[in-house]
Amino acid sequence: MVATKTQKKRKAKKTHVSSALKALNAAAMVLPGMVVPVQAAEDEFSLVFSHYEESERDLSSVYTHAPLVGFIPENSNAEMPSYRPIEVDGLHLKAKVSLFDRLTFTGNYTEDTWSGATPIATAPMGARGNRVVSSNSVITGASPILQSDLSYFDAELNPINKTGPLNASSYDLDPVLVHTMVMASPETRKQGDFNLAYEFDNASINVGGGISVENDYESRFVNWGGQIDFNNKLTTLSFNQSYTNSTTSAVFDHDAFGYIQTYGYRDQIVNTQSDVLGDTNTIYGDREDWSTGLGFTQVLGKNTLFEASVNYTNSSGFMENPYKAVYVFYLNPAEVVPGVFGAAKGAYLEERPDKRNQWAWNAKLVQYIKPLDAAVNLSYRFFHDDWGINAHTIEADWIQPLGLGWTVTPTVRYYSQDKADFYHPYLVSTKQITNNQAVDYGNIPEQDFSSDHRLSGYGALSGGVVISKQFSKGVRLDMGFEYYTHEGSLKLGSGGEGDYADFSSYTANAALTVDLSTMANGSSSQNHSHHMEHGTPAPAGVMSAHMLSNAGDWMMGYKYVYSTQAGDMLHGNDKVADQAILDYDCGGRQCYVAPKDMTMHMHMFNLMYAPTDWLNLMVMPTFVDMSMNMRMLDGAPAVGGTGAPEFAELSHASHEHMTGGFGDTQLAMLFKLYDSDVHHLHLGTGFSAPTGNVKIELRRAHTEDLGLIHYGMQIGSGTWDFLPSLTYTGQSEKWSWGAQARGVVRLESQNDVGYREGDLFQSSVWGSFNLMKWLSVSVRGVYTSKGALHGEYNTEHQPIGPMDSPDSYGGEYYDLGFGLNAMVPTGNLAGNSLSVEWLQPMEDDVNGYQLERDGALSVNWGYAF
Amino acid sequence: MNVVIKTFKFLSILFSLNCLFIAKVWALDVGDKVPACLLSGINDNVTEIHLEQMKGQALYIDFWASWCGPCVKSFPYMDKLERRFKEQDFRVIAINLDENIDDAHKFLKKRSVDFSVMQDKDQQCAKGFDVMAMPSSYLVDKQGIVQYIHLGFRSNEVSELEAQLKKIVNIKFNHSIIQSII
Amino acid sequence: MKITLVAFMPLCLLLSGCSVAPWERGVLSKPQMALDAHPLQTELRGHAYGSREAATGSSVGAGGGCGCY
Repeated sequence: MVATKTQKKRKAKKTHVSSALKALNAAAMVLPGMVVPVQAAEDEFSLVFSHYEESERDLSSVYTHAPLVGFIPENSNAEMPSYRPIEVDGLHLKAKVSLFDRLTFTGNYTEDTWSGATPIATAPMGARGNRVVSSNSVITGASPILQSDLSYFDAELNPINKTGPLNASSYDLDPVLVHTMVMASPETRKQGDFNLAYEFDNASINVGGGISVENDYESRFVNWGGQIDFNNKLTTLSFNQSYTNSTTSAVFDHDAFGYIQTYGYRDQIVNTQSDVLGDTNTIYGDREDWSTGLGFTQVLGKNTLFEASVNYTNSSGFMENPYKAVYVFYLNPAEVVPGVFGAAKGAYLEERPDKRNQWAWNAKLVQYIKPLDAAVNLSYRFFHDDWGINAHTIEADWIQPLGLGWTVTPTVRYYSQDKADFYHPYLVSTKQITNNQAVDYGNIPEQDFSSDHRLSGYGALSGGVVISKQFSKGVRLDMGFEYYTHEGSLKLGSGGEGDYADFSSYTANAALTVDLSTMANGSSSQNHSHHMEHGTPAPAGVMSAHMLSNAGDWMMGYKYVYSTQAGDMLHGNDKVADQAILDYDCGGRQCYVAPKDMTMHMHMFNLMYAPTDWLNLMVMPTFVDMSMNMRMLDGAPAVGGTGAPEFAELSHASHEHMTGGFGDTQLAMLFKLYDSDVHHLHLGTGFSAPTGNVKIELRRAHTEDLGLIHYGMQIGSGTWDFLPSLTYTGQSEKWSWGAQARGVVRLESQNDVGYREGDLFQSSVWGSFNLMKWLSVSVRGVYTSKGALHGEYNTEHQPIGPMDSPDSYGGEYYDLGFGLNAMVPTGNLAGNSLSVEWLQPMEDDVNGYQLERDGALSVNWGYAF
Repeated sequence: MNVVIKTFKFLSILFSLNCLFIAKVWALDVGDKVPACLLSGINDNVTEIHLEQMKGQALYIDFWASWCGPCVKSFPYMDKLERRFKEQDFRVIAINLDENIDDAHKFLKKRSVDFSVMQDKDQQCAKGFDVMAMPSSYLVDKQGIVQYIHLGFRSNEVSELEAQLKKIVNIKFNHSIIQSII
Repeated sequence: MKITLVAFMPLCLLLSGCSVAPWERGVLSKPQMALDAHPLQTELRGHAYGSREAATGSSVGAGGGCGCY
């Protein structure tokens, strides 16, 4: 129980404050340390992109309670922007390398960015949650807060639908429940983990660990385990254990803090002042999980494999989701009409037991189907915990090779769970509300309560397919798709939650895996050193500096760029004081804030193929995440009260803004113009496809929809762009050098939200020297000229600072780069190259008012095969 | 339901653990004579070798299959051994155990090797040699005695094999010893 | 001990798990016969299910395959 937890004094983190009152990214609640490393032999690298999207929730109350003020009539086509369903974009990088013959190292990096609306609580439809907020019949926002008037119940505590005067002899029961929804701004979770495994002849052991970080939740885990083979490896016993330690630091949304009672959490909340506007309240909680698993695998015949396992997890500590609440209706003892009672309501953050024991038993059969050369997997899992949840999972997969390297695997899965003992969509108390926090809290009829749909009773059915193509040279592409539906009526037996809680989702993913060992790609180490002969790798920050010289060659690369801005505000080449910014036109409004720091992480994956000696084709998808903190300008005028439109945006600005997801995708062709032992010249033409989002919005705050986030935080350009480039490289003995001129020309006059980025021109000159055969250092000078934005947002946005003005983008930038480049000429990992470069800004001549740049770090890994 | 699952799990473990109790009554050891073994050529049905009759030559016998990763990795090494010690009355004989011989043919089409590749119809040789893992390799000296048995293959764990091999090729074949054993 | 052997042998032969020789594992070593044929997707799917469902604890096992050293 929350109220009895010991107090934890904590120094609140001032800068990492997230927007609150959103459902905690439940993905973080999945203990990341539980994933067990999979056995396979080779060195390999994998890249996975994934996308998850839910369907809209059934919010019947929004439409059917007309004509009360603030509601959209049923036949209205007004949009409800606050309830866009959850979407998650994900990136996963995995590298597995054998360090020595029996020792294998696996490293994983995962990043998810998610946004969208999730339920925080549930209430009878008559309570009218999810109401719209309007001003002069224009819908300006929405709120999950229930209407403040009374709700009604009968003597059996069933909710009553009151749309008109109540009649003692007839009233309608209100059997429908509705989720109250809250929208969240984008949030990014990042996780890194590793595993080391050592193989004996008949056994192996492994150890690993990792960390998962997001704004309001941090999780650290270690795991260890092993396996022993018996019986000429026909029988395998495996063992696995993990320990996870997690910390929640969830910030309360300002809107919610007064509305949701926090009496039960009073020992865990810390209040601090923000750098922009107002103060913040943060809940802290710690949690520990121990998990142990035992597995048994037996070969039952030449064509059959069987596996059984058992897993036990013990969890303790702060088990709540701090963004979920439960409504409690307090009945007035006086009947309104005979048999009908009015009730006032209170909203409370959920409270769960602080211990949980979980058991899972698994069995799986793998059977070969000879006539089709296919394998069928049948698996069953039974789960049981001491929260009252029993769950069954049945899954069947059919892995069907189709020849020519294609494999198709349809899968079907059924899942059913009971509700937790303390799951209640809402609660009714027979005591009258007193408005005394301590008393009302004490009158809640249950000690533990949660309305989280994850703990309700329901069934889920999903079907999917994985299509896999194995190319030569050890490259494999997997594409997966799955449709999933969660429905109360699908539950085994009775007791499933009502239709209102149903939702469905789909996931799509694409994975590219490359086998790095030379055996797999059929080329010997001699081939690799030939690739490498053609110049040492260029500095990491340069794009497409080298071409593949032989038809049939491939290269894949991964480039990571980290760029950061912090410090003073600039205008032209001078630093400016805040006063100058205050007089500036910030998107047609008064300027209140300036950016304090901004970071961007870009992950770019490129795949290059040479169909002929003189032509290379390249595709490059990207994944980006950005964050920005702001500060109030010195001398900014007082904000005109909570009603002023900028108030909501400014209080939102006291939190770190984050965006992330897939970026734009580049497609390019490189043409070799001249090539000799010393000199090389090539021309590039390419296009940037606008696959990156430009419509990212801030979440609703103080019942205001804030619209689109600042221009600079959108992920893509939103337009098709043309990318010409001309590159020259030269080398002689230990020296190599190069120059490149490239441009970005926007091909559309504006993107879908009304603006386009400025055109870009960049020129680079570099030289590098081989310290050793495999290592070189480089120095580079870069000049960049970028235009300001053209046009401006054509839909809602709330400007508060110079980053909201299209004129404060672009300029001329001068940088100096220092790099180290390494490559592996021979051996098992031949063909790999790694470069690192730091770009130091020398001078900026910016348009409008911009934050000065601190620099950028590029890391580039390339593998030619 | 819970109980049913637990019982099922218990029984399946019990049945399978039985396999551990079936003890091997006999196994091929270092010091034993090389077993009688008839091999045919991998690509034709004409070539035949009787392993037990190959006295006078030191043999490196390797049982392999196209689907076995470490077996495939050992091929370049076996090539190296064959070339290096051929002049000293040494031969590498790779015995294929693919149940479907076409898999072996497909595999060999993509690779050319210097050593002899044979097939073991009916797996009599595999059983005679008591092959317990894939790959299994045996060093047989010029007198026909097994001197070294190794399960698996790892490219940086060949030092013991090479030491044994050097000893074996340096001992000259002695007719008179053989006469006394027969 | 001998009696135990005799008693259990028929059961074992019934399952014929003991009689798979090391060279008879060609089918078991095929990629489609792996305990987890698509580990990257399994990890992604497991993560998605774990976010929406209360049950945890999937397979621990390893084994099967070619049984090579």
